[in-house]
Amino acid sequence: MELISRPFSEEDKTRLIGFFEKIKDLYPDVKSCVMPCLYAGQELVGFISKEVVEEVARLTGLSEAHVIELASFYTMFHLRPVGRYHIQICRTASCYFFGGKQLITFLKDYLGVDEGEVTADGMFSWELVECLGSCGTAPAVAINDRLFEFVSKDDLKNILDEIKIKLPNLNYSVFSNSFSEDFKKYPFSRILSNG
Amino acid sequence: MVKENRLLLKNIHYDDQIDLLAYKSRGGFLGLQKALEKSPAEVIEIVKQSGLRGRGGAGFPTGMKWGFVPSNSGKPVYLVCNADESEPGTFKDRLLMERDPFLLIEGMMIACYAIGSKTGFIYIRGEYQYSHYILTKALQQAYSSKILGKDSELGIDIIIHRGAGAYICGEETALLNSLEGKKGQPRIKPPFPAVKGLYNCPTVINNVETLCAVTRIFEHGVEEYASLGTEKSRGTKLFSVSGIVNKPGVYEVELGVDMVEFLNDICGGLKADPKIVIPGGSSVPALKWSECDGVKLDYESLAAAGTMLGSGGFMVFGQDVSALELALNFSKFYAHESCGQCTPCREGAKWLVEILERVYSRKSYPGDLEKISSLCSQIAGHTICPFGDALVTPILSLMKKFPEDFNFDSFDFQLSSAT
Repeated sequence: MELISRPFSEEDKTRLIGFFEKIKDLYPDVKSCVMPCLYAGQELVGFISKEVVEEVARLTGLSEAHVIELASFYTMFHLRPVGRYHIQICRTASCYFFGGKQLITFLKDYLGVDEGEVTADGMFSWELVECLGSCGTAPAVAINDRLFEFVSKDDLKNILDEIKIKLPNLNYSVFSNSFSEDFKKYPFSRILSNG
Repeated sequence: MVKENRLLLKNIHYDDQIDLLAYKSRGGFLGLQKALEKSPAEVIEIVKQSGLRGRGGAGFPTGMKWGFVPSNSGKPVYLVCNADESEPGTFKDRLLMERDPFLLIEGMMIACYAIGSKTGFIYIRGEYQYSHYILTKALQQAYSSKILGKDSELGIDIIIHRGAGAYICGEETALLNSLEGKKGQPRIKPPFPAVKGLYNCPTVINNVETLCAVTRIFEHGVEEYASLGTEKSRGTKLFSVSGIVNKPGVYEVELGVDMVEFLNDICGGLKADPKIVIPGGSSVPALKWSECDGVKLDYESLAAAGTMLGSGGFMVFGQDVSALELALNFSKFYAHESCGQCTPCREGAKWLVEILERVYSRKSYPGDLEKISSLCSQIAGHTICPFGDALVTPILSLMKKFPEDFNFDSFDFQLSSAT
C-alpha cells in the first residue's frame, strides 16, 4: 500500500509527541498507545500520512508495517485524504429500510461524486458505514465526529448547505476530549427522543 | 398491561448526569459502599445468587465468570468493560453511557474489588464520540474527587480506550488484541481470558449493561434483584427497539414479559402490518410475526421459540421489507466486518453477498440457493470465533421462514441445513 506524504509542521509533531507522553503511562504496555496516537495524528494531518505512520511507529516501538496494518484494518482511519467534511451514512438494516436508502441516492446526487471520492473543492467525501447505534432514531448520518439522527432528505440538504456557508468544526478533539461550540443547535444525541 | 421496570434506567432523564454530587444525591455509590462491607469472595457469591447473566449477547453467568479468576497467579488482574456495542439493532449501552456514566463507573469499581483488580479499561467503539466525551468528563470528576486513582481508597484506575470501527472487537478476545495495539482478531480459546487475557494476565470482560446491573444488585439488595424476572432469567433487561414500532427507543423490562404486549403496551404499538421480528440483534434467528404469539422475552422462552435474547437489539420489519433484501443487507454487514482471519468466514461472507446480490437482481444461476445453504454449513462451526455462526444465522433463518421472498419455487430448492 502506497502511503501519501504530508510533512508535519514542527508544531504538529510536538503536539503528537506531547500527546503520546501524556497517555503512555496509562497502559502497562506502550504498544497500546498506537490507536490513540493514530487518532491524534489523523486529527492533526487529516488522514494517516506516511509521516504519521513513521512517527507513531517510532513512538510506540512498533514496525511501520504493523502501524499500516492497523490503519488499514480499522475503518475510521483514513490512509488517503478525505473531504474536509466526511459524511457517513448508515447502511445497516434499521437505517437502510427506514429512510437511509433515500439518503444514499440523494447524497450521491447532491455531491456528484461516488462513494470514497472527494469533491473537486476538497470539501466533501462520503461513505456507507455499518450500524452507528442509532437504530431507534433512524436514519442516522455522521459528519466527521458529529452524529445527526432522524435525518430526512431535506434535513441532510439543509445541514450540508449550512456547512458550506458556516464551515463549522464538527470534530471531536482527542487532545482536549471536546467538541467545538459550532452547530450546537443540532443535538449531540437524540436517543431520548421517544422512550 | 406490561410496564417498564426502570432499575438501570431510573435516572436517565436527569441532565446533570456528569455531576458527581448529583449522582451521589440520587443514591450513587451506595451499591459500592454496601459491596465494600463484604469480602471480595462474598461479592462474587452475591452476583452468582443474583442470577445475572452477561447482557452483551452471550448470556454467560456473570458471577461464575468472576469466579474463574485465579486468586494466586502473581500477576495483575484486569477488568475490561466491553463498550464496543456494534451489533445491528443495538443501542442500549450508548444510552447508559450517555445518560448515567457514573452507574457504569460504580459497577466497574465493584467488579474490580471482587476480582482483585486495580485497573479497569473501558473499550468503547470509535463511533461513540459523544459517549466517550460524557464518560471522560465523569472519569475526570471521579479522579479529582479521589474516588478513582492510585491515591484513592481503593486505588483503582479506569482508563477509557477507543476502538476505530471494527465490529469484531466486540468479541472479547479480539477486543483484548485491539487494546494491546494489535489488529482486532479473535484468539483461540482456551486459554480463556480469566486465566490469560489482557497482556497475558487474568482478565474479566463484562458488557456495559452487565456492570450497570451489578451496581443496582448491591444498591437494592440481591433479594430484590433476584425476585425480578423468571426463575432462570433473573432481573431486568434493556431492549433497544427499532423498526415499525410507534415509539422506537430503549426500554427496560423484567425478563419474561410477553413480546406482543411489550410491543403494544410499551413501544406504542406497530405502525404497519408486521412481518419479520428479530429480538436480539442481527446475529439471532429471525421470527415470523405469526411465531411471536405467546413468546416471552427471556433467555429460555426465546430459545424455545427458535431464536435468542442476544443483545436485546429488537427490530421489527413490516410487509414492505423483503426477507431477501434484509438477508442481503445483513450479509453485506458481515462481509464488511469479517476480520479476515479464518478462510471460511472471510471468503464465504463475500460469496454469500455475491450470490444474494444475484438472486436479488433476478440474475441468479440454477443452484444458487443450494449454494447459499452449502456455504453456510461450511462457515458455521468452522471458525475461531462465533462470527461465522452469527453471519449465517440471519440468512438461513430468513430463507427458511420466507422462502417465497427468495423465489424458491423456481429453483426447486430444498433447505438442507437450516439453523
